Amino acid sequence: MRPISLEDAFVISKDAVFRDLDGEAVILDLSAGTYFGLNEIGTRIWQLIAENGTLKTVFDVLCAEYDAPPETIERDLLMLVSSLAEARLGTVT
Amino acid sequence: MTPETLLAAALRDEIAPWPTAASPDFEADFFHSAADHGVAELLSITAALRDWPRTVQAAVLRRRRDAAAAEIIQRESHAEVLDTLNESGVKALLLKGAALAYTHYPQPWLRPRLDIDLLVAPDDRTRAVTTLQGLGYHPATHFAGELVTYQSQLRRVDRHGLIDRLDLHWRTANPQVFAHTFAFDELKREAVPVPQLGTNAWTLCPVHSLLLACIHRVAHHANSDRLVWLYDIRLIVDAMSHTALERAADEAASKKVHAVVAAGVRRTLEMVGSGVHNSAVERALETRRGDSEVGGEFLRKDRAKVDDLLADLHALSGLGPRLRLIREHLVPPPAYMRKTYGFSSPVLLPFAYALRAVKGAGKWFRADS
Repeated sequence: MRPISLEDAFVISKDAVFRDLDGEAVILDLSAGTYFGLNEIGTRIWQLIAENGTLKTVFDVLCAEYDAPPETIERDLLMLVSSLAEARLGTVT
Repeated sequence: MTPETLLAAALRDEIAPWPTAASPDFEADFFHSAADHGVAELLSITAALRDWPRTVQAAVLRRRRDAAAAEIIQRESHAEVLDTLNESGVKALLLKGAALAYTHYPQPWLRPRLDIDLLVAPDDRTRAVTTLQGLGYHPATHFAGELVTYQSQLRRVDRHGLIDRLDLHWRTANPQVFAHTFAFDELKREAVPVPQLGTNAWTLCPVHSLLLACIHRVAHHANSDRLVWLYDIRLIVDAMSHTALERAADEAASKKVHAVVAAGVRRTLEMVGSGVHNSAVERALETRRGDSEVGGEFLRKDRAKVDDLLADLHALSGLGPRLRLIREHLVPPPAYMRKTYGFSSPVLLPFAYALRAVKGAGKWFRADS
């Protein structure tokens, strides 16, 4: 798999169902019957991906919302997207 | 402090500190008790959780995540069942946990349930079973007799490999005393939608839900203090207007189940409290005590199976139905015997009946509690 960058977009699978649990969240892959837990930041990223899709837009919003170095935010964002893609909860385009 | 008292205090929204001198087993016992009482997930919204040890907090949140994931699958399955029944012309009403999870709980995954309970009109029972078989359900128990039970348990393995259980009811309770408290059409007339489960999902109105929740714990579970059933009652009462409460008290009196409903509400207030108007609830129920109550004897905790049979016989009218009930208990259908005792040869049937008589005799006189 090629490296993911901020120029990519993440398209959420139609089989991925999201439930917000007051801060954290679970995403169930209906096709596989497996679920993925997200912490507060992961939940926010998922919501932004669902709204925007493009990782650059998600990154910009996260930089505005969180007091963390941009390189840390970028690394965490790309790492999470990579995990989501591996879990087949969506595809990187 | 026992796990149960701590659980109840937390559900009453009281300050419920984790015991400082708890035994090493306390945490495991606590979670066993929380699961038995069906309230492990509910702890995630209690104020008490914030002050409990981190390990306990983490375990509660893990359970909540598991329940939320399971609920996604349950929701899909419930909607499929209700839509398919509707397409086949069967109107079904959701009962108990699977309905209350959506109509009364802050989030549906906070109300765990092992199955979905559906009520259909008695005349639709066969068509409902056939339709459900088309969805992959098969009977999990064999039918014990027309007057012994008014429900049938079905199950299937869903596409995720999980066992999906469904209880199909054609009366709201099995004991004869309560079996005719509600007619299906009466419940359907006032049913309310459950939009989260689709356009074909309907359940009982709050007044009927309250009466049924109080009857269920008494009629089927020996006046049990299982916390999730009491919490169901609390949420139903909390969401009712004063007028609705008054109507519930009137209905309970006219259906002669006032004692059972009053006992359920009173026990709820004692064990898990109520968010609003305790005095209004008590007043509404106090002023309507009836003289000709039914089912009051079901409030005794030391009831044996024979007491239930005697109550059933008393509730049935006419010699024919009474003899039939006795026969159904003594000589259940062969299919039921084959399933229960695990044999297929007809030669073994008389031996199975004899074994049932010997083994079952003691059970009839032992108290449920």
